[in-house]
Amino acid sequence: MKIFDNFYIYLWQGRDNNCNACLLAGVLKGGRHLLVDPGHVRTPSYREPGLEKLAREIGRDGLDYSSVGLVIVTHGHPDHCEAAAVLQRETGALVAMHRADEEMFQMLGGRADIYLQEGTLELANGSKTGLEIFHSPGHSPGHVTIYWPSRKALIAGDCIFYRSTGRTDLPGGSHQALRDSIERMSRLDVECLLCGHPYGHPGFIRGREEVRENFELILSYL
Amino acid sequence: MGDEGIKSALEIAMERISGLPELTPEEIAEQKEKEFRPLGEALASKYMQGVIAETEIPAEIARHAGEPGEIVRRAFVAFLCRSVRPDDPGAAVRALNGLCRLAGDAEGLREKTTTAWSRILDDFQKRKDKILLECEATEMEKLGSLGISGSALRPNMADNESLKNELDALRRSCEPELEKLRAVLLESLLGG
Ligand SMILES: [Zn+2]
Repeated sequence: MKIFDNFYIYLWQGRDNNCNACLLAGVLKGGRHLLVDPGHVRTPSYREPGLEKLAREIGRDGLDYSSVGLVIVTHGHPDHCEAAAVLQRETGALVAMHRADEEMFQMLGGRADIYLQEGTLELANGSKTGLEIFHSPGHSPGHVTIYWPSRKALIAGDCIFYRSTGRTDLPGGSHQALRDSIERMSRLDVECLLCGHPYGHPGFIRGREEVRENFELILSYL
Repeated sequence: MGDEGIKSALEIAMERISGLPELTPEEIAEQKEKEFRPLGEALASKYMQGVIAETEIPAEIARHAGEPGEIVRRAFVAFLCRSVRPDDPGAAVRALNGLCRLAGDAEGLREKTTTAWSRILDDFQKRKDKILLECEATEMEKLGSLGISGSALRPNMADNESLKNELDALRRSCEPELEKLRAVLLESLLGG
């Protein structure tokens, strides 16, 4: 689903657990795309074809998923990065993630080509797209969030959902770190928030007020 | 059939042994080497893994007397000398400490070898850091040509072929100085 310009989101609508994905089309040389969180290849319980479905939806938007040149995984849980290992093998896409979560990705047969740390990420294909990478641990030790300042968009992974947050009881999780990460993100100017999962809500929040309310509600009980 | 017609297993074995040619002194030495060298290497390995403390080394070596003791000592020293490599400074320092301990009160050996080692390691680290930076910069350039850049990126260099080759060359270039250091240690520990 196209949100604006070259920004597309793919909200998971299956029965099983899988993540929301998004794509920045044509932002790399040769018109290749950046894909964030491709999710499961197949979901664990119902065996729903996650990657196949994502590829189909990308195709419906008139884009070719084999033209993905860079995959960013917000963290190393399989429901976010399993398909990244397949894309890496099959399309030669580079995979970028935080070093602290790479071990989980390696268990799925993947290997980080690029380690992400706090800083800027510039994507260029004639025009430039400037993103900011935040290390936002708590849900996992190497969780990252992606901020797009010029579009006031935040790709939050499993840090923030609609009126809830990612769990902190998995290995490397930390409630305090998650709170700190969310507090940091709440200070960003965000009008468009993509959450990592559609829990009781599609997981895409639009409007500065709506995003602010969501942050306030979460921080009030966290 | 009577017993005299059948050879016992022992008789057969004795016949075979008597049929063997006498061992030359070199062959006897080689056999002893084969027998006792692994003991010295095992001892060194145990020390390197922390199973044996540095202070226990002299007593452990002294448990083997005479010619076998010499072989054990030589194997122990050779093993530790091989561990003096700049790509694992922790192991190298442990090996040097073990060798100096075995040398007992060998005059100034610890000081002399520590100074030489620090110089080798310092040079290695500086050159290694430079190589890492250069190889990373090359990878960043490659990413740049794909339209990917920025301060958030660090290329994963774990399987980088050119980095591996450069580091192998660096290790080789350190060998002459390391050999000099090993020679000092060998002279002190095994020299006449
Ligand atoms: Zn997760």
